[in-house]
Amino acid sequence: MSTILLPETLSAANSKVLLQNCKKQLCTGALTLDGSQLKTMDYSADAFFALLAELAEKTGNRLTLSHFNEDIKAHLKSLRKMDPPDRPVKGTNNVLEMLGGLGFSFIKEFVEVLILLFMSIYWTVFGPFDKGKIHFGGVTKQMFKSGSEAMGICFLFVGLICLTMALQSSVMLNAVGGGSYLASGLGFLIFAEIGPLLTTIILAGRSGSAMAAEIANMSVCEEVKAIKSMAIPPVQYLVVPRFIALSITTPILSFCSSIVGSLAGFLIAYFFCDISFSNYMMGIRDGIAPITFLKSSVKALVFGWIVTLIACNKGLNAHGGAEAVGKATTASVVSAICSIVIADTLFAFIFY
Amino acid sequence: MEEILKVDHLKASYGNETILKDISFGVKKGEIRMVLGSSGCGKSTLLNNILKFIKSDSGTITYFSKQFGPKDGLDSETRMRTGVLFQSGALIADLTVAENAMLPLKRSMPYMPKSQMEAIVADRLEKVHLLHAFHKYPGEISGGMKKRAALARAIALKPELLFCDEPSTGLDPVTARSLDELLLELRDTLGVSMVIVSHELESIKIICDRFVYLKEGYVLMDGTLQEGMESDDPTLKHFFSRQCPKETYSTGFYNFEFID
Repeated sequence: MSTILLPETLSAANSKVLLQNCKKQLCTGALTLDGSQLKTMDYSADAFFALLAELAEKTGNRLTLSHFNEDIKAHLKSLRKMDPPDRPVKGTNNVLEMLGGLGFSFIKEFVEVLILLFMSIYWTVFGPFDKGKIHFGGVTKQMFKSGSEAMGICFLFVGLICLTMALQSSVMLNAVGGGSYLASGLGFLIFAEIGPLLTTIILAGRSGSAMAAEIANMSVCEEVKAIKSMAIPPVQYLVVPRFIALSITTPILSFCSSIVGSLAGFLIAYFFCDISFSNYMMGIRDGIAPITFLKSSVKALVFGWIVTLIACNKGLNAHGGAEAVGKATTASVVSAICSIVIADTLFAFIFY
Repeated sequence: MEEILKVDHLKASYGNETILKDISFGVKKGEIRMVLGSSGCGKSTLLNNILKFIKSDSGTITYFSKQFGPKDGLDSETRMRTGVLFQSGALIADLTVAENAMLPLKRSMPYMPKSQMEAIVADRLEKVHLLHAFHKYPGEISGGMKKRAALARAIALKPELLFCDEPSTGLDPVTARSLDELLLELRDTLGVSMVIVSHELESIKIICDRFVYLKEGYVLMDGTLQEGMESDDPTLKHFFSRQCPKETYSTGFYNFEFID
């Protein structure tokens, strides 16, 4: 039997080394802890003695405590064995079930967004005839927040990307002697594709996330319930002003961004391909059929709906605490961008 | 006396977990009915089900003799005859206190001139002693004031039935007491029946006419405060005497061997 003399103070600072020594001894045989000098202990002492007691029980070796003062004895006698409840099993590890769950939630969300679209269209058309309609001036406010305030960043992004694209195209076209075709090719690409796509992706990141966060916060703070309790349809109050605002601003913003992109392209055409402004404009006119502007506007309109409806749906379905607001915002941006890209691919097959 | 709200065999779940298994009770005209129970027993879930914010599994709710099934929503008329005071107040942050209180009026009486609506709102705000905050935004007033502003909004249409979710929770004792007295005053002056979810014993003693105590998804007791306080049921004894029932995961004591 070995004996270990405990120090005057047993604390977190010295208990780790001491515990290792005691464990070593206890694994090989009986152990006596001499507490004749031990006067004070901190919170770590409970774990120290409990661990040694459990080890003694496990190995079958005897653990004895000698010469402990009465206070410490009384404390150790009251030390209880605890068996906390097991962590509940959450979710599943089955890949098929997980995939099924993902598919199901995707379908559920798609249906929810579709319902929201129909309800938004319904309230947009019949809202003005509803006698209890609330006039919030919400549409103009949302147009300003989601449209006007996003103008700068949309112009900057679309302008710079078009500039880069024009530069790379000009190098290739000049190499094969086709620099004069830059305007028509670039014009079509910008108005038909880059303008609506980039503008709405930026809107999804900037305005969509703001919408999702705002509505999610209202959901979490019971404001949506309060709206319902006053017999006001939340869709009419929260979604419709945003839906109308983005239906108006997105095509306009997309068109304006396309113009900025074309002007950026002109800089490259002028300096790298020797194309004058009038020739550049003629090239664009030749490259774009009038119907392209309509198709581009329809695309921008649908993408704007996608941004609004996904953001509002994520916001309305948020529940929990502050964490839910963050989750709704992130999910809104990711879902909207993915949906816009998928919709863009579908439009490419339908329109061209 | 006529029952203006009747909950009949209500069952409700969250996911796979059944929170409310079989809840039945009624609210008489002019009475303050409290829903009591320990934290997490389903009081707020019950309120959300009664107000049809979430769908129930089964059971019916009858408002003013009109019955609603488990999957039905409340119609506008019923909603306008009821008011709700939410736990957090749930004031719309973008609107001033007066605009918040004006929302139900705008919905129910859109033809009414704004000046008239403002007069009504001023009356309601005066009732909750908050007239001075008429033009303030929710972010500019204290928690107790938010609750009173929310109460003004809830009583804007002089509802016959008022639901309050933990009205005095999170308030200091003085503000909580004044809110309790305000609720009693509203009951006496406007004749509003109330369903109040709470676990604040002080408030319960002041305002409760009858209560239902929820436990494990069932109604443990339906009765008056006096009956509850005299009950021999250990749960109710613990609740009304503010004793904490012992819960332990201990499996015994360590048997240290002492030698001297």
